Amino acid sequence: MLRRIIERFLVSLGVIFGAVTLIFLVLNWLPGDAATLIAGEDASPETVHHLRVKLGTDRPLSDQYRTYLVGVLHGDLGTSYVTREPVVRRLAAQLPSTLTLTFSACSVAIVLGVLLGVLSVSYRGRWLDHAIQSLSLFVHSMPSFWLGMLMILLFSVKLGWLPVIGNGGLLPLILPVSTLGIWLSVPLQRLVRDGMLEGLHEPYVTTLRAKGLGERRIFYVHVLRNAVTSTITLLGVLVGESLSNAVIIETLFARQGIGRTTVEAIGQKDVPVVQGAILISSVAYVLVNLFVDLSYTLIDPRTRLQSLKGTR
Amino acid sequence: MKSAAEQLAPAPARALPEMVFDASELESPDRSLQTQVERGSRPRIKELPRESRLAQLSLSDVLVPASLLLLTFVAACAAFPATVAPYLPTDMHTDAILSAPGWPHLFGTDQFGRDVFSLVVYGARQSVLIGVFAVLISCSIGVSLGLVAGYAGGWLDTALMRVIDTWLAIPNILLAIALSTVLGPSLVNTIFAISITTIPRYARILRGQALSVRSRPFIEASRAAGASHFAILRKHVLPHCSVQIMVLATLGVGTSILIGSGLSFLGLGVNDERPDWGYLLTQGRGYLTVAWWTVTFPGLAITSLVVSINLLGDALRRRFDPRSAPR
Repeated sequence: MLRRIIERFLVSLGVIFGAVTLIFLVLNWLPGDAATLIAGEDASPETVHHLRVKLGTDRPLSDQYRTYLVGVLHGDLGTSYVTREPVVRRLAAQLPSTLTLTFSACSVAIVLGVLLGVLSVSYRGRWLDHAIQSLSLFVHSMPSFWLGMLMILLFSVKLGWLPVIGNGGLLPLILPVSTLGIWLSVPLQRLVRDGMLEGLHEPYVTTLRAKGLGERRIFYVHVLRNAVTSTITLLGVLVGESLSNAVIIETLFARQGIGRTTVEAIGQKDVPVVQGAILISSVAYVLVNLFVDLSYTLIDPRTRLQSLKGTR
Repeated sequence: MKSAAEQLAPAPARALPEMVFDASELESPDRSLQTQVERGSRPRIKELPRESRLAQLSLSDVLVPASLLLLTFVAACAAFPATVAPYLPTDMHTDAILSAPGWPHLFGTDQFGRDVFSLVVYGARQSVLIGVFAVLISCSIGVSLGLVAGYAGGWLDTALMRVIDTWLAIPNILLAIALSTVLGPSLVNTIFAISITTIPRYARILRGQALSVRSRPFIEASRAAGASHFAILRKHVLPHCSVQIMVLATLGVGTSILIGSGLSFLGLGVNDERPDWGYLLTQGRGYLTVAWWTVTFPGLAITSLVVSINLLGDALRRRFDPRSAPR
């Protein structure tokens, strides 16, 4: 057990190291030079060169990579090209807002997903099930920002219940959180529905029936619990998707946060900020996946057996 | 001429069915067995057994032709926008700025007096090109990587999968954002960014498929008959995964279109004179409170296209892989 935890931990460290390298390569190695982009198309070569020296992009790539890697290990993600302020400080200031959004959205998604999943199984084949299924297909096929726009149209413009933008207080949080939550609940709803449908045919249900347990109890206690436990596996995906979509949702609702900072930095060609923001999201994503993996090992003994056989 | 291996292939399966191990059976339990069990036990609760296949069939009987029809229409818009659209996307009807849907502007007009219906029609091409080409690139690379990793096994598999894991560690839209930031907005760059982002999903799933096919007796038989690894991959392993690839690719078109619209919304997509749907949504966002039609119709276009693609993908899965759970 301890061996598996250590093993998984090391693999995650390797993946984080790989991700740091990959992000660095994508943003620094590919054609498209920050100095040229900042100076503009018609800047003189001297200006561009001067800027390059100032930004430190004139040095060989391996050199830059070494500096960056040492910096990351010391918790230093570089300095913003535009504001000359440390990237870590800038992103740390934005972190609480993004965490509030993603954490609340994931909670909404879990509650909504499980609820709708259970509803559609208990009304299986009837109109409510069909309605939930069609709705989830529809939501699954729309861009998250369009869902947000529809929510704004309905709740802010038509009904006038909620403000469109803003940062303080609880009220402006409702629309972005519910948009992201509804959008993310679809895969959960499907997982719970499929899981329960499969679960109803498991041998343990026959055993429970044989010992005289009521169908209601079998359904709501035993089958539901197993299906809900399996949603933990989706937690990683959920966090990844919500971090991805935070960029879009924050832009749409003009909310403070890492996502919006990223978009602003893209506009200013501020590579270190973009790099730092993506790095933080990726590390968070990897850590959540590690946590999910380990907690699942604790919950479901069958996965422990798998690791013994070395199937990973 | 048929190779010895191909003649050999089905024989062991027929002779010793219980020895043929199929990993997919583990994921979805054998349905025929369930039916027997169900028949044995008295169904005590109404509708506890399986979903009525009949209801589902009749539903998809309507939905699949409808989505095919819609896809044909979108393809027509993409190929010949001038024939479908009543106006040019650049026509500015200055006398009808932000006019509500009606006649002659079916979907209304935007802040420049451009006809929203025509804009949506002309925007179809970008989405279709993004969807199709991004999937062609990412699917062919991802499938090759996955098949090679799963079939080869050993250190090559481990190495490739570590790379794929790292690739997957960057949340998908963020990687596409990073790529588009460096490459700059253009159609080709958007397609490239989306393809790079979506490669690992194909590789992951196809690797599993190849892994399960690889230990089958007919692979060993072709090997014994002298087939090269490349020939086995191409003639036996790849066809074995064709259904999976077809379904994944179909659903991938929808995903690519959605990522593309997100990039466009962030100003990283294609935003020259040819407006695409995501860009129309960005434009309309500023007029949300006064002109709902500027965002509703382009969004509806994206959603209905992706809904049709997803319905088609699910239908393909049900048609060719009935063992998989109905979703």
